[in-house]
Amino acid sequence: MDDAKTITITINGKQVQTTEGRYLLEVCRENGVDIPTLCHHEAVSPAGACRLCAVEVGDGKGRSRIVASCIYPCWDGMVVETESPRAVGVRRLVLETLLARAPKVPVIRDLARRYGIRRPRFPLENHQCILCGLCVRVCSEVVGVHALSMQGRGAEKECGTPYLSGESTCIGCGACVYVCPTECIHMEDRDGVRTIWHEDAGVKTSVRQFKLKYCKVCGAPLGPEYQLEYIRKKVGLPEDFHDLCPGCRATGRRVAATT
Amino acid sequence: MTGTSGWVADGRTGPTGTPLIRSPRDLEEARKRFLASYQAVQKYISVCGGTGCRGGGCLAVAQAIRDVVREEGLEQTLPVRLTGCHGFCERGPIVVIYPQKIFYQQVKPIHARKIVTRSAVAGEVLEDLLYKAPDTKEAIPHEEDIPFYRKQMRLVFGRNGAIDPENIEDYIALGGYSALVKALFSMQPDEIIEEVKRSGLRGRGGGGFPTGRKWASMKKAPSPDGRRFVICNADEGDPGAFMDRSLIEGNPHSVIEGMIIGAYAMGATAGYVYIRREYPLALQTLTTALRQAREYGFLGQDILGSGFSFDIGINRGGGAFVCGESTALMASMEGKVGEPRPKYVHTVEKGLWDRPTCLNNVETWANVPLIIARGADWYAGIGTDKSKGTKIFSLVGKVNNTGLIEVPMGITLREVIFEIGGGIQKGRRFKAVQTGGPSGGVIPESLLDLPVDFDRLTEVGSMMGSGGMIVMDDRTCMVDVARYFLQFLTEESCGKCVPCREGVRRVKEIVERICRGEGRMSDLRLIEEMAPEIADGSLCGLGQSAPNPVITSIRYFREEWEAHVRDRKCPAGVCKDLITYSIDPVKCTGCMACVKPCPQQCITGERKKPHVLDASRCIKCGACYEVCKYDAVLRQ
Ligand SMILES: Cc1cc2nc3c(=O)[nH]c(=O)nc-3n(C[C@H](O)[C@H](O)[C@H](O)COP(=O)(O)O)c2cc1C
Ligand code: SF4
Ligand code: SF4
Ligand code: FES
Repeated sequence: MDDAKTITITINGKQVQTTEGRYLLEVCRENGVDIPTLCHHEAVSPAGACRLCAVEVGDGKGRSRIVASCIYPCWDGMVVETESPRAVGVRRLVLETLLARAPKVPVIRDLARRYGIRRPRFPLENHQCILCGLCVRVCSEVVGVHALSMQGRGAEKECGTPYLSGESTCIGCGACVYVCPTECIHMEDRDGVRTIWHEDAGVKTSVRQFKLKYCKVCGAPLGPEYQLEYIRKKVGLPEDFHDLCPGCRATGRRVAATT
Repeated sequence: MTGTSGWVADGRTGPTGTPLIRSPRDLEEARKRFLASYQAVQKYISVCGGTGCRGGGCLAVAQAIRDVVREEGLEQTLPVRLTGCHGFCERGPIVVIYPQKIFYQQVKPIHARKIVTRSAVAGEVLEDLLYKAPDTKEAIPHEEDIPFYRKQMRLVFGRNGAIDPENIEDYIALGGYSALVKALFSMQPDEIIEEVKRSGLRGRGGGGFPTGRKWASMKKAPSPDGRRFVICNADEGDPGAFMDRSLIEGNPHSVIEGMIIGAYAMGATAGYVYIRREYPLALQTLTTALRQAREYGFLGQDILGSGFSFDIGINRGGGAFVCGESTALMASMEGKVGEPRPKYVHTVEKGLWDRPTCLNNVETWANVPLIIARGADWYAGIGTDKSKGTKIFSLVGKVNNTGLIEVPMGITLREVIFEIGGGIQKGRRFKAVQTGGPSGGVIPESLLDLPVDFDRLTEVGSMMGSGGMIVMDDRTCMVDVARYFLQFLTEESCGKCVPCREGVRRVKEIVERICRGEGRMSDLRLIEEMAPEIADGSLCGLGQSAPNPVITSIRYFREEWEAHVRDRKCPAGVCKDLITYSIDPVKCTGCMACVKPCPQQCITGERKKPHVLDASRCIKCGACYEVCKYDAVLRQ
């Protein structure tokens, strides 16, 4: 925003200054107010999907509503309660239903325990994926290859490569593995091959394999060939750029300079 | 033309030749000519061509009538017109003889000859094809005297039966596009917005948001490149609702005229109609209407010489219920997955392609020309304090007269159901009415005198929605009704946010368990605890309103829920796991009517002697119960 306006908002009774239009979650966190999240990550745009970051926002005159703080823009004079009964009610609903869906996932168990939920009142399932969509967003927004998407809708929704097959534009970078909060995307480098797959309720989908490339001099692993090519072409590096690891490339340059 | 963003909508080729009408004066002259030729034909036969009547075979009826007209050599003197929906679809196909306006219903091709020769030519009224009052059995020759129509106020629907939707000249003849002339040549854009504000018009697509206020915000919102859009929401995903379809099929130019006026008022550069995939007839009618509007000069460059340029394209819906939600609709138009996004930044500021966008429902747009032509004061005089004008409802379920009705806001549910709807079928008892589509609430008998308006319906836990109205009788189980809507909503949830995706399906599971007789009293408390959390936590209107049916059902029919849970009984006899069928040996006359319909052959007995039902093989289909004339089949 070009004409950023400084505004005053109230968070849990404390007045703080910030810039109009910034996302509420960021402002709360900067001011030491902790709000749990599952579908939020600084590297990607907010989606407002998990609703765990629910807080109650009022106009100070008695009218208030529940909003997802990760995607809610701040405005002057707003009064925020992050632990109001209504906000906590939504958070508990989210955690209790997610715990029933994915009872073994550590991050869900910990969060649920924090809100006093040990056993959900619903039949348990054995999912790991909570459909937060972080992997999809990191792949399209950060990596820029759109290899992942959500398939289907409602309770049948699944996440993965198109049609959950191995067919996709995936370059094997592993960004989704890193960002997934429930660790249901797996990556394994073995015998010169990298395998990435999504595993939910014991079913493996979106299995992708990549040949790994090693340094021609020292043999250090460099990454999947496909990914290195993708980066090389995108950045416009010389064709032999990825033959050597950075260390050997530097040594090579020194040798060339001295001879 | 600006703002097509690289995609060219259906039929949008821009003006090819010069338009036929280039100024307000051209329009007035054309109107005189069209009206003269419209009125020259005094005597004609009109056949309803709405989708309901088409299902009943109206095209075959029209063909048969045309054949007879030709055989009798009457082509020059007795035209046959196909019109838009009359609303009384249950009685279709409908044929009206002009100028006497004799209203024939349930017409079949074999009636063609007598309709032409005896009625249209000789002036006889054919008793057997008239509508008969259910109570007095009196035959009623004119549409306006039929109870179904008497309490209606057909403003938006008014011209549906009078014009040929494929012929723009009919619409012009009856005053069409004069509101546009008024708006373009004697009103400033802000005056139009002010007029719509003062009229009190609220959105007919569900939320009831004040239309004038929405227009004013859109007008104010800046656009980085000047592009601004108006969209007509014709997605109509509610099962059983077909008012928007009938409007487009019956009077498409009223919607188009409303959109042009709105575009001018808000400074829009392009318009789109987002129309449901499953509506081929509406799509065809709309395509024709847009083409004619372009040819006659109401769309395109320099409309009627006003300097204002604007055109409308068609976009076909994504197919899911949730695609009717504003942000999902726009995502789908941009070629993305049709999923909602949080609306903390409103679509009037950042909508389609992140440009200011005003989305209104079909019926909302169709109200605009009426307001501009007849004035905000006239409009605001109809309806209640905060709900103005009329509303079209799709009246279905266990009422005698089903169909599309248009009533003034503030009419009571009792008037709608018992006067227009003619009461409950087979003289059974009214139990509840569900308003507002799949996420509306159920309203019990004690609230029948409730005036129908946005706020009163919301107060009792339901909503106006887009205007669905399902009437239920005493054989309906309210637990089963809640289960049905929860199932629909679970299937239609897009699955993006947790409260809706996980919450609604868990409530559905609990209700299914209760229907199976495995409920606990704590279940009711659990549902009541989850409902406000789902409503508070969900991202879009689908999840936010999803608890309505189950919560109102528990609120107004708690004994029935408790009977399911505590006594493991379904008082209405619907939940299969909770009922058994048997035969009362005292009442059974041994007529044997039930023996054959039973698919399990579990009813045995001799003629004139009491029969026996073997409950161990019974699959509870209820076939015997339906056929027994002596109430001897017991359902407990
Ligand atoms: C799940 C869902 C489905 C909807 N479907 C429709 C629809 O089919 N037609 C419609 O006009 N509005 C629909 N709406 C409402 C739209 O989001 C929007 O509010 C409306 O089109 C605005 O027009 P109005 O102000 O004229 O009512 C739906 C909303 C939700 C939450
Ligand atoms: S795989 Fe992980 S990151 Fe992707 S949607 Fe599932 S839980 Fe979220
Ligand atoms: S409320 Fe339901 S339909 Fe709406 S975004 Fe959430 S999951 Fe999708
Ligand atoms: S972190 Fe805000 S909705 Fe998920």
